Amino acid sequence: MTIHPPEQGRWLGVGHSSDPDARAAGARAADDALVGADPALLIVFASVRYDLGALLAGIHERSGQVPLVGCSTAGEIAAAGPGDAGVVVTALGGPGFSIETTVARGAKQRLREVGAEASACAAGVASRPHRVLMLLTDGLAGDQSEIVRGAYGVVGAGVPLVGGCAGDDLRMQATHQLYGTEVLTDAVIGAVIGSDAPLGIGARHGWRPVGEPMLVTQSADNRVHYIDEKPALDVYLERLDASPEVRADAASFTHFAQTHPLGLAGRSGEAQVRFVSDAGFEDRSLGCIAEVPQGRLAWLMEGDDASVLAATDAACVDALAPWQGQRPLGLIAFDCIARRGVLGERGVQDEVERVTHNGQGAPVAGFYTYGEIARTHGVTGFHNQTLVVLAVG
Amino acid sequence: MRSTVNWSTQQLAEFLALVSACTDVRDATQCAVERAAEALEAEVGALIRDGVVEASIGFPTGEVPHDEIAAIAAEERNRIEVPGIGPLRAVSVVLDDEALTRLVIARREDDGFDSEELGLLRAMGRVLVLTLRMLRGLAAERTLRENAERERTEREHAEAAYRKLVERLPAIVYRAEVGEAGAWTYVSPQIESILGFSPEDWCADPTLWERRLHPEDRERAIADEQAAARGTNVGSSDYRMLARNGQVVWIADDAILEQDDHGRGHWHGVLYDISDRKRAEAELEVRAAQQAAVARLGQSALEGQELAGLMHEAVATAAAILDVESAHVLELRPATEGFTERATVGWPEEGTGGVPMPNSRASLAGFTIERGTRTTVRDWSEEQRFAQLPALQGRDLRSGMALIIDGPDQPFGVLELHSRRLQAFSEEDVNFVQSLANVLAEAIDRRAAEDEMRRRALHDPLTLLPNRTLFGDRLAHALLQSRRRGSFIAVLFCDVDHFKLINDSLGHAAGDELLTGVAPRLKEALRPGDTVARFGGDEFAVLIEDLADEREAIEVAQRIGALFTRPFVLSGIEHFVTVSVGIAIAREPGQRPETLIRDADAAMYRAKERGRGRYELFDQGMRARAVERLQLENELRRAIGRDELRVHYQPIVSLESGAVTAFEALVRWQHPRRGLIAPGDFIPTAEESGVIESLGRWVLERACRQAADWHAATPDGFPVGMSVNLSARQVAQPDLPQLVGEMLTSTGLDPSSLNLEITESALVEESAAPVENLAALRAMGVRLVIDDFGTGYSSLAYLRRFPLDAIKIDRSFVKGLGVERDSAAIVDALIAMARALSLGVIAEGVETATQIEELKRLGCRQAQGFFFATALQADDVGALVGSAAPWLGAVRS
Repeated sequence: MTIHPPEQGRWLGVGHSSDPDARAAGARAADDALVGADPALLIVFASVRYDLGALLAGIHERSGQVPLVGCSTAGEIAAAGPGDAGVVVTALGGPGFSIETTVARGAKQRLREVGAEASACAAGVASRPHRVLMLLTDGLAGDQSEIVRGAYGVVGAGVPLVGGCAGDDLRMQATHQLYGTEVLTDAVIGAVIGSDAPLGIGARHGWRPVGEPMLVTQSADNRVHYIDEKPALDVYLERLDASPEVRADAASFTHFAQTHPLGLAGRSGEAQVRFVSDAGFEDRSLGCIAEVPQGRLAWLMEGDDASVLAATDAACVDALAPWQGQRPLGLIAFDCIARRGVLGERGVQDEVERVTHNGQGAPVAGFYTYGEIARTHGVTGFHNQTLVVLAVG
Repeated sequence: MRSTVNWSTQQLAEFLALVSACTDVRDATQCAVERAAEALEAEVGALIRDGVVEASIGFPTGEVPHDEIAAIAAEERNRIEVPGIGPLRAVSVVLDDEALTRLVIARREDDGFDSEELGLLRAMGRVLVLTLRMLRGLAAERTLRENAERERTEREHAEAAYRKLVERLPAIVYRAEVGEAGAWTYVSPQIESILGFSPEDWCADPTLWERRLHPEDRERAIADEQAAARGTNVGSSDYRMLARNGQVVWIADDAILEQDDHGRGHWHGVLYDISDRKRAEAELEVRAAQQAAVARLGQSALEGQELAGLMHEAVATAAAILDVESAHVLELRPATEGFTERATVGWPEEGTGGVPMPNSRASLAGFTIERGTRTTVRDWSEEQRFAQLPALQGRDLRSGMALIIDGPDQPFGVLELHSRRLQAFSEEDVNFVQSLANVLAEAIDRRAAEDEMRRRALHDPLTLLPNRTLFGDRLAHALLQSRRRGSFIAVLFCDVDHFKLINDSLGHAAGDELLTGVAPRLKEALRPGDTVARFGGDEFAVLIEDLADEREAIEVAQRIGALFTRPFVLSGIEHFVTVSVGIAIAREPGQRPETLIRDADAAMYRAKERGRGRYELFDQGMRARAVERLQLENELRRAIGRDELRVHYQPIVSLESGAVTAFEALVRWQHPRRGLIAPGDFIPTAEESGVIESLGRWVLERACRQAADWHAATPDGFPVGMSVNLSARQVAQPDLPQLVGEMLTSTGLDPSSLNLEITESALVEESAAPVENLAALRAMGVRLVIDDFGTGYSSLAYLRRFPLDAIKIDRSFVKGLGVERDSAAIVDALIAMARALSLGVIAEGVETATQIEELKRLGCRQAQGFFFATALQADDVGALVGSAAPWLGAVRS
């Protein structure tokens, strides 16, 4: 638990618990997070191992009617370090905050529409000079970039987007979104934070393209069928010289693919990373967490501890830029589960420490995601294998 | 990442791939704007056409700055303000030749758009234009194709529906040449299902149509066709045809005539199978006939036709309409457990003519009654449930039905139909017969109700005995008969003694129980042909015919008396009841019924007078007395008007002070010829004749007025009461309290000064309960006294029912005081009883000082009698009041 003393009445608190009893864990984490007066929002990241209804009940026992958003995770992040089977509650409040929340259900069938619906809350806080729309989505619902496009279509370029896709400890079965007392699935939750103080966003991955670019010659939504006119899976496995196990076993492939994403060329900056989620052993296709446009140039990407951790620092620096060296109220991290795979347990511990260090000891909360959302410039806002940091001042 | 490997080319390729994958103009436009913005990492993108923004990205919903975008498109400016991120650098490229459509992109960068980016944008614009053109063409073509497809589908559907319709029609579509040998050139397949011939068979044989026409319709059908061919008849023709299997099919033939190019006529027509319709029409006719038949029968019933005639009409109607050989009404006779034939049609020569038939559940009728529901026999040869009655056997019956004719309490019987043909009676047929049975049931019901009304008009509802009217009729008839036969008849008038007492003390239910018990005892005493009637209340009359002498009548009266020695059980308790009987015998020709009844009544009164529980024979002495009484009655009626009545006053004296406490008003009749008549000699006549009402009112009025006068004359010294006797009849008068109230008001007498004296018998004997009257009087403040106490029923419990103030001990008990020990004991008991009821006690008939002493000893406080004074005229009363009274010594001693 990290307590950050209130500054001029504004505060952000983070509470963490891994009590196996869901209700007790919720109550405990909420107790620790609620460190100031006039709480405006609770953000809950919790393991799917909990009875999430009981967990929320435990939190509500302490927080009452304060708006609550959240989701299930593939691991939770707190200042003390990354963890599993726990809950992290972030609470913020005090003067100068305006919060509106929305939930949109039935995401699978209409991704873009729910993205738009979940963003409807943004209009409610137009009076604050700084705004950010946080989206918590069902990471298994489909092409997440469509959700982000839907949101962008509603809020426009003036409101940055941030957030992540809910996880389920890599079970890949069902993720949950938390809204008030409701435990949902196949939903998108929007929470717009309006603030008198700046809100900073940083997003980096640290992966590098390797080898010759390839042309995506046939794809549909999240599935890449052909690369350079050849079956995509074969090209992928060939170029990476994958082991026979990876070539035949789905779980082995997913594990392998965590550290071997695709990169999509952009006009400038880092290439967009696409987490390869599964292999179509029958049709020799590749499944990705988000859209891989047909006709796009793509690379195989590589990364190591150093490059990934360097990205961590870079994301924090970007997020904290508005404070020019001042300490923020707190940091919220949306960190890709695949990065955890690359860094290993030691590495992720190091990463969290770096975030805390960058934040000058400000409270840190977050979770390991199935996809990250960050849009500060341009239109594109959905990422893979990326660390997104939201700094609240 | 700005790749060295032809970044703009691969961006364009991706753009082309995405935009060309769009299936409509709107999606393609939006996609193009978004992808162009993405490619250039721009925040804002828009497509504007003819000044209208058709797609955009980067603006909040509803906040698209149309004018600014239009200005950029017109190259009037190159920056755009987006709230939240400030000004953006903007660029626009032309999409079509007319420069009406432009793609606008704006980005948050200072370095502007380089030539490669602008080249890419223009290329994207061309791709989009081409794509949109293609999509629009495709859309148009798609619309055309869709329209054509829809039309084709609709046409196919319509054709399929038409085909289905035609094939489902119970009709044969045909084309045939005109003329006798005209070939059938087309027949639709339905001919197979309608007439059993295949189209090929039909077309192969031009004579088939004519040959399959029903013989009865053939001539007409051919004539119709020929007339139609000549043009002299148009429209359809209905006729019957014989299908291949011989079944009759009704056909409506509807055809038009057309000439071919060679001038030959062809029929284009449709043969409709209208068998169902014809059957329905026939069925309707039958139903109409059935309804009319039921209506006719109902009408007959309403017009009051005799039941026998009605039943005959019902069976005749049922047989005729349903075409069955026989129909019967069988009445259920529970007593003999059989049926009696009440009406029959079909086998008149063998009708059972009222001979009972057994009611066995093994017969159709018995089964029907037992089941309580209609029964139909489809085929007697297969019937398992019951067998044919012997009377019906050997008649070759095949089908039948039986329906219940309801009766008032139980089924009256059944209406049975039998057919020698196998007939499947339809539900409607059975309902029709049921309707007939219902009409009969209603008529039977009505007849029963009428009989009941007649019976009620002539019978007493409680005992079911003939009433006075019927008795009078029978008596008149008997008198005529007796004259012819030279025999006597007798009327016995019987009255239950103390009936009112039973009614009042045990309740009306017990009273009714007694009356219903009396009736059979009276019947038991009679011969079969004699009549017992109830006249009302506890009065019964008996008519005995064909008497040889009066001895026989007396024997009947004795038998009655003997039968009453057995107790009656009322409300579970045995009660002994006696009856007083008066006998009148018609000996002379021409005697009137009412005279005979009156004589018997008079004799019964005599029996009552002589102690009840006995009989009296009316004799000449009674007749004389009756005549005398009639005369007295007439004179009495006139007496009031002629001022022949007087009221005398006898003082009632306090045995403690000797003072007069009250006067008893006693009426006297100053008869012009017979002198002064005592009340006992005319009051009974006055009561019997009803004169008592006006007489009583007169006395009451006179006494009240006198008392009021006395009170007015001596307001301090004359606080005495006035006792007035009320007859039983007066007590029963409903308006008695009102009458007394009016008297008190008109005379001004204080109610507490008025004592009304009532005999015990007035309380016990009269049928109308006087309790309400007495309570009302008491409520007014009037005092109530029982007169002649001890002579009647004298029941403590009984008296408790009435709101009384005092009792008067009868003179017969006072008379023996000082002489007989028993008398003192009785008076002692009476006084004790009165005390227990908080009643005052007045002794009557005091004549001696000894009696006064005894009364004082026993605790009696008031007395009256000759010892004090006889009844005096009003003027003589004054001398007795006050200290001058001559009896003071005796009283005070």
